[in-house]
Amino acid sequence: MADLVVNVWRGEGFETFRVPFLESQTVLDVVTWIQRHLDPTLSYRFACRVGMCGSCAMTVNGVPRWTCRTHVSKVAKDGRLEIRPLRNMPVIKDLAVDMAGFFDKWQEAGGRFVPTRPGVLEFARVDPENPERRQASAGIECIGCGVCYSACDVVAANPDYLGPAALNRAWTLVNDARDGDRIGHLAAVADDAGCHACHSQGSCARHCPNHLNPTGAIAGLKREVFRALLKGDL
Amino acid sequence: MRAAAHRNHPAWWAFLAHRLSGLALALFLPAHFLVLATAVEEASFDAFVAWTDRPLVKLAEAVLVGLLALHMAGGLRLLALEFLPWSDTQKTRIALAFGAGFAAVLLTLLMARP
Amino acid sequence: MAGLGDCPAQNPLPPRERVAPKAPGEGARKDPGTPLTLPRSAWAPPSPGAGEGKTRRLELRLFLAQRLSAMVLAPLVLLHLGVILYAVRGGLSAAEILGRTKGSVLWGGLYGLFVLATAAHGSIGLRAILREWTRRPHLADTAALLFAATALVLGFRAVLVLT
Ligand code: HEM
Ligand code: SF4
Ligand code: SF4
Ligand code: FES
Repeated sequence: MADLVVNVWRGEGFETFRVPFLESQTVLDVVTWIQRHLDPTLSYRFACRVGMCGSCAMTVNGVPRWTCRTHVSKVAKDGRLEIRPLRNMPVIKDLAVDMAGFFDKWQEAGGRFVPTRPGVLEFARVDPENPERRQASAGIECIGCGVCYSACDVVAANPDYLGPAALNRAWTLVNDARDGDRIGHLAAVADDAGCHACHSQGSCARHCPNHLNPTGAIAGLKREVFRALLKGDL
Repeated sequence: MRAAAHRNHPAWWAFLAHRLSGLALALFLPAHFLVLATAVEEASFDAFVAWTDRPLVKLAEAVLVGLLALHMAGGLRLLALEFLPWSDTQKTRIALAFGAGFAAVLLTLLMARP
Repeated sequence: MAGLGDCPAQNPLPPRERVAPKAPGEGARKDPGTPLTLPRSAWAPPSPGAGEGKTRRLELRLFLAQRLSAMVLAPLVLLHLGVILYAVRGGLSAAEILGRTKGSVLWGGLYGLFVLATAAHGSIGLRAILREWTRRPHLADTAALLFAATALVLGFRAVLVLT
């Protein structure tokens, strides 16, 4: 098998590397091989290598992906890879982006569990099969990788937009029977640059490596905000 | 367009079609109001209709009706998505919306035959 | 590989003392009796977006106006498409159209509603497109207002001429 031709973003343009092709090789393996064997100054980020920590996402041949779980054989086109940092986040160096703004928006979206009033002793009885809990359970599988955020054109056009991951997080809390501030969560996402900026383009759901559906979560938020308005709660 | 590879999926194309059809309708609408009122007012409406009686204009009109149908179908799909519980048949709905647009074009062309 | 000796797993911290949770005042173990009815504002800081939102939320209002106008437009457009298909059968004529619409409160009302709904719906849509594709919010607002004004003036003129 011929070597892979790998174009890697280095800040001022692409640098081309030749990397031996191996069976079952992941894109993260390729980047690591370059750093270990060709250029130790290449910067990128990873931790778990098994799709749990959400730190390794990059843009591979134009599509945002978790590189540790993406096989080269699936994405290389004619033995070529183009690896860029994630879109919609400031680049620190090479393939490492600054995710601080991305996570700040989780706070802005009210993505924090609010306990019920201190001193309340009853346990919340949560049926794992009820519809709300199923929505929440689906959404909490997010690993915070930023792939959806990078895929979203609305984030690209409106840097204030909270984005799919933060809104997906808010949706899990709106559906969490134990959370003490459902209306507060809805108020946070109903703000300008909140869930109503989304045009249901679905790129987030399309590319989420965990097959979450932020598009559906955001539609749910729009619906619940509307309901709360009708009831006069918001 | 490698840079836009993340956009190549049905929901994104449906978004673009909905946006461009909406834009076209919004630009056409004032012209439509203007022409209609002016032509009727000056009793030149029938002359105007005669002007529109050419294949190219006919086709353009049919396309416009198609855009209206497409935008409406796509808009109803969005309203369902936003106000009704999520359904996993989004792709089918997108296909239906495109189908409605093309059906409207064909229907207009057929009916408008002199 | 260097540095494994620094791994915290091999140098565990001394076991921490377990601290019993303390609630304000009398302690967490006692049920104060009043269930979850106390307003959240009475005991917790406001969540982001709460409070100030009531006066702003422009995007939410525009979203609702656009969806509402879309719901109004859908049946009207369906009717209009039906009329188009019906009217173009034998060729269009001013007399035929005016015969249908002249003096008709129903057609006048329907088309008046149509003009109102499209002016709102189209201008909000244009604003969204311009905001995202030009990133000039003031331009988008101005263009949207201009569009709404033009559509209203021309639209109502057409309705007046026809009815
Ligand atoms: C037939 C009934 C119609 C329905 C059900 C409908 C529905 C919708 C909906 C739900 C949206 C929101 C899309 C989004 O923000 O993601 C929208 C956008 C839009 N509509 Fe309509 N619409 C209709 C008719 C019209 C007409 C007659 C016009 C022409 C003035 C128009 C122009 C627009 C424009 C310019 C947008 C913005 C597109 C965008 O933001 O991507 N629509 N429509
Ligand atoms: S569905 Fe909404 S959040 Fe997701 S990519 Fe599209 S516009 Fe962005
Ligand atoms: S929703 Fe999916 S794509 Fe987005 S951050 Fe979470 S895991 Fe990543
Ligand atoms: S390295 Fe942890 S998700 Fe890829």
